[in-house]
Amino acid sequence: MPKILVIDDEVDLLQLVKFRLEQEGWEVVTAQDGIAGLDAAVESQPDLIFLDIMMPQMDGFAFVERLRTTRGVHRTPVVMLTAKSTAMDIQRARDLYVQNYITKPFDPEKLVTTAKKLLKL
Amino acid sequence: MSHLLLVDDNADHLFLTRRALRGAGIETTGVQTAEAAIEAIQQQRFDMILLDHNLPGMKGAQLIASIRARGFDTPVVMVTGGGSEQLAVDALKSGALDYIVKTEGYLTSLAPRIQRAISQHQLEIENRKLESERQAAVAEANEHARRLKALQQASVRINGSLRPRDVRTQAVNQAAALLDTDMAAFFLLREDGLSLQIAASCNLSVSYADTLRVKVGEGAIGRAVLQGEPIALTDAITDERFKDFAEAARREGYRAVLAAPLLMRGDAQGGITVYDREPRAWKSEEIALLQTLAQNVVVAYENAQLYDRLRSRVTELTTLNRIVTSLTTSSDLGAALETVVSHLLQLFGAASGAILLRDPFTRAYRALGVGSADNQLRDALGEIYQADRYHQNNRQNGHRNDDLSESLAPKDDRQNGHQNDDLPRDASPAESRFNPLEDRELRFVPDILFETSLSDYHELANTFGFRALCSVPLIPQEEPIGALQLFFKRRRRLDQQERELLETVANAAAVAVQRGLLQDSLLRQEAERLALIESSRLKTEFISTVSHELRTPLASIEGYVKLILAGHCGPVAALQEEFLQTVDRNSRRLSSLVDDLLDVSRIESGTLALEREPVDLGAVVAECVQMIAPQAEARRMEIRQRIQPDLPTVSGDFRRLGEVVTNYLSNAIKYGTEGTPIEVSVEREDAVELRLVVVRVRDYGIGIAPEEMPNLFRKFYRVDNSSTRLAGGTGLGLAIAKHLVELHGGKVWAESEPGIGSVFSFSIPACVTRTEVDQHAEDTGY
Repeated sequence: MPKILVIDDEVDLLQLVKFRLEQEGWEVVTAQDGIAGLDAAVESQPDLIFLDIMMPQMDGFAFVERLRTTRGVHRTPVVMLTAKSTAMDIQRARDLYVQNYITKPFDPEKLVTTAKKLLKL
Repeated sequence: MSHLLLVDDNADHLFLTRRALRGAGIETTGVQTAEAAIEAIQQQRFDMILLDHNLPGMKGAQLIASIRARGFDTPVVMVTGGGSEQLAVDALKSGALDYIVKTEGYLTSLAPRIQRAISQHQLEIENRKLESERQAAVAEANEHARRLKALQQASVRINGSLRPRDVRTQAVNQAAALLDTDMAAFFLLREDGLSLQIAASCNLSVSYADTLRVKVGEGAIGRAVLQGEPIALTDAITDERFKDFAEAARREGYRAVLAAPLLMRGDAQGGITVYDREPRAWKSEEIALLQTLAQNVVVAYENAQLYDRLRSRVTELTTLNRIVTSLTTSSDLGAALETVVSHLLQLFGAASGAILLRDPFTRAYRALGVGSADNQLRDALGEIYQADRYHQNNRQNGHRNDDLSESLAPKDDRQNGHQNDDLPRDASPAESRFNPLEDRELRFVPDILFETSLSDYHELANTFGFRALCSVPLIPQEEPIGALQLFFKRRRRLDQQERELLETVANAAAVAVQRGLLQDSLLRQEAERLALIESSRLKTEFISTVSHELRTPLASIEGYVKLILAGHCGPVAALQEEFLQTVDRNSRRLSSLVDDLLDVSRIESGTLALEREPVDLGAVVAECVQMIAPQAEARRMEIRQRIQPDLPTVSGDFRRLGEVVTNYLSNAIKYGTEGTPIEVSVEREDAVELRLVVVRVRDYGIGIAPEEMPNLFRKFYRVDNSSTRLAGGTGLGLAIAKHLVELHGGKVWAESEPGIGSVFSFSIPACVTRTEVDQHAEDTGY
């Protein structure tokens, strides 16, 4: 069963994503900031991470940087889920080998199709 | 013919002697007593006296002594009765020339003896005279040689001096030594050219030397200068011609005066005078000596002056160079002006100075670079300059100097409310004044206190002991912007070179100030521009943040609505679904407004970047039509595409160009009449030197009034608020479309006929492909 980590400081959105993904029968782990997210990633070894950018303490970019140098989780695919959509933001994400980039607001169905594609389901 | 005096008490003897001598042609006068002899000598000149030794009452020797005592050197021959050696010795001792013994027949040999004695005596006299003349000639020759040597030495000394001042001092000392006098003076013509004053003196009292003014033509020196030749005065106290100077001569203790003019290229520019304490008849040689000395002095003086001018010119040029350098290289105008003033103070020996600048708007003067050798004075002066002293307000009352005069009054007076009087504060008429700060030319006042039109400055002059004032206006172009002022504690002159130097400095300062002011305004403009950029950046950042903050809650709203509508949370009733659709539609509208706002902020901040690639606009249009078809169908509108085959590609951002097309299409759907078609065309058009791909979207609807046309592509502009609100637009779409097209190097435009419909178009330059370049080369033969 695929395991998905969702990191977002916005609880409402976190719940929405968790709800829709669980409907697909996937295991969903959540975290509300980058540091907690990194711990959760190391602990739960997810198959995919949905990640917000603007978060307190450690933002999305810093999280990916740390993730890419953390043994055991450095190859985990990441999907950015963010309201930041400038060309610069997108380019930064690409440089960090982020697999996909979904801008808020989004259709919840897009989460499922993107996840299925990346999980090769 | 010789004339003898015979003195003998024996009348016979006298007679016989006279007869004997007369026979020899010698005239005689005979007397018998010593008294008669003395009387005769006093009345008449005799060539010789023949004296009998034994006179009654007086020996011959006694009579000789008596005659000599009366100042007569007439030779005497003694005649004696008896001959003894002793007698002869006595006679010669007493001053007799010879003696004759009365022997038998001596009378016959008497005449030749007498004649021989007389001629011998005359020869002796002649010899003595010649000897004394010879001695005098030798003495004179020695004296002449001595003077020539002294003159030569004096000339060497004088010529050895390089400063005019030293030349003057040497000249008086050497003149006094040369002519062996105690006192000497060096006179120079004053600036008026009509009087002389002493420039150097030797042993004259200081008060006399400092204050003496001699008119040309008066006194010895005045006459010497007027006539161009030396004037000699034996006794100044007794000479009627110079009685005006007798008093001075008595006081200074001189009698004789000798004055020689200093002739410089034919013009007497002054003279040298020597004074002797005793009356003295000046010899022509002495006069010539002083004249020669004066000529040497002129040469030395001119050389020294030349050297002095050269030296001061070098100093001036060096200072000027420093000043100009400091003015042109300094970025701190205030410091540069201060440097200028301090250099000028040093160069001109001025007590104080400042550069005053007028504020072009308030017309008040600001003092910059207030300088003074004396710190205390500088501080005091600085305060005065700061105290609005030079504030100008001619427009109000026409009294140019009112403010100036008021500020010059004691401060206490100012606070007594005088200035609130309606009466003019200034009693003296304005036209009798001049204001150096309003001058257009250099103004030099040798003595402020003597200048009644400068009464404003009198207190300043009194307080600080200023005498002379120099004010040079700063005129960079046409209007004076201020003045450079120097104050001197002594009366002084300002020569042409100094004037020119000051004018040059003032010009350089004026230009520097002007440039500084320009720089000020340029800096201000630059600061304003930067502030504008900063505020624009802040605005963009604000919009970006706000957009982000808006999007996050929107994401939740939209997401949950979609979850419910998709049936993930159980079945949804029909009415519920309809209302949720309304929520969804409005949420999306808000989203697109946020998107548009973000685009605008990116465009304005210049951060919107295109992802360029070769783009087929036909494909862009086809995709957009396909995407928007459901909306068109909802209003029963058919979108008709006419896409030219084999279109050239354009270099562009597929997604962004799609946004432009979608914007045009959605407008056509909104504003076209329901049920009418929408026509979309993509064509190639060849303009001069440029091939374009043109996209046109035509609708059939209400159209746009001509007066609305120019505003169509402006931000937040909407043709009609009510209709747009119904159609649900943001008012940003066309503005964004225009920016996006322009970023692609293209153009947007619209045409409309009210009541018929509108055509919105844009064109993008086509890419030039390799084959086209080759084709072009073949066509043109290159």
